[in-house]
Amino acid sequence: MIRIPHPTSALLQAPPAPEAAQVVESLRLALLVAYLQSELYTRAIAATGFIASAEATVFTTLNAHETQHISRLTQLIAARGGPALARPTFDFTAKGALPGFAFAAGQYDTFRLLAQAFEDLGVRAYKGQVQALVADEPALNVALAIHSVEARHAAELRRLRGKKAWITGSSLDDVPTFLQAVYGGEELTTQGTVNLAAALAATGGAEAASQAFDEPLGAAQVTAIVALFTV
Amino acid sequence: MIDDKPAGTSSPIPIGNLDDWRSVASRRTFLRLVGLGGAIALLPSFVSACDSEATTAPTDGFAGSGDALVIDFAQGDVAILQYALVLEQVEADFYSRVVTGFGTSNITTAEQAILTDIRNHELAHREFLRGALGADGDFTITSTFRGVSFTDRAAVLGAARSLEDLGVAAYNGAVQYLTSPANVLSFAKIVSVEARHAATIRDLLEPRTFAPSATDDVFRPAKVAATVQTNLVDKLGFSNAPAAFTQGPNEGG
Repeated sequence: MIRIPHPTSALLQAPPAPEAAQVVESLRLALLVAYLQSELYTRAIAATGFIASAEATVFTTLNAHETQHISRLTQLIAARGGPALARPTFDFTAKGALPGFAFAAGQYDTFRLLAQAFEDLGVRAYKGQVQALVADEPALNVALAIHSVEARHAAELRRLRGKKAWITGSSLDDVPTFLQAVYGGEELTTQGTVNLAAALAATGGAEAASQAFDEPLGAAQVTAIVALFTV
Repeated sequence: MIDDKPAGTSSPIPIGNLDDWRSVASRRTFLRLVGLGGAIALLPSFVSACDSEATTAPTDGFAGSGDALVIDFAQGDVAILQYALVLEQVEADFYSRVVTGFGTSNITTAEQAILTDIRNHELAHREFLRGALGADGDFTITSTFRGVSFTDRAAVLGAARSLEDLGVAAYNGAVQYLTSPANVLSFAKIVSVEARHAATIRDLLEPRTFAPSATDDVFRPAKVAATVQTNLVDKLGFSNAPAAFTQGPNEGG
């Protein structure tokens, strides 16, 4: 009796071509952001004595998670026959916006600031792809499961830095202005047709209304932000 | 009779007939409802809360002792939004109780600011869903936090952690049932804020435990409902619930 290899469940559930191509594009965008984050943590951990010992476990956790995200996304892309995405070469001086940044003594605060911005970016980047992934539920669920972990990461980093875990308005706070695009658009206080600033007039108002909902970023915006850090 | 159930029994929470509830409810069962089974010796305040009305508000009803609240999944997205509205009402009620109790609790000033923000966010989620649902969102659940001592920081944060982690898994598992792209995006906008809450609460309870896994849970509505029921006087029920569910990376949802 001939045994016919059984196709993987991922292949069985692969959607028709146009949607499948979009799914692969979404996964590759997510992978690009995961590479950016992973590279930041990997370089920081490799710089001996750079990370404050009290916060070492945070960054080893973040690094381990991003490694797993890269693995998950790479597998999903491959299972859908998508083209591999190589890890870009990153430059964390951001083409001169952060001159001399090299994970060196005295630059720890800048590193944590970048980490926060990259995780807040991650939340928005995955969120921007969720609608495109609904045609492929296994991929959708992986993206959602990573998306909310990115939000956990962002919250932890913001709290490490003495900031609120949620984003108020489109405030950069102390994030440099060249990263304004990471926070632009977060200021919405009306969701759908519901004016939440008014609904919450006595319980936090517009600030709470903007904090309560994170906003998506489109692929072009995300790519442009990542490109600030690639050679 | 106390502790008359064999150890390790994990029967469903008795729902419906109050006499049935009383007949099978052991102290251990009660504690399991608030997620603290096995910790009796270390948490005398919980035991007394179980035995007496003294430390809980008189309005704390028995879970599942009220009227049926049935969500009909044949309504499509409306049902999924109603399901989310149940969750958000429970969360909003919980944090409102927390904030109301600040005056007599040992929750720090810094934590009070955080918990007030979270209360406001849950109100925003609730009001958004109400607005989106219109007449279909015109229902009010009766929540119950029987056994949670709102004067005790650890008890409040422990219950909050459970609610937030469950909320994340619930939204993650509900998206696959939505058909409207706008609703898909709305759920994604909310779930990341729930995750920010979860990480924050976890950090307050035990620093560095903000993300227990590289991928969050993705839970089917029935699994979520079984836990949410412990905080609902209403008898939560589903009709025409979808049989199919696509698991997330952690499986077990």
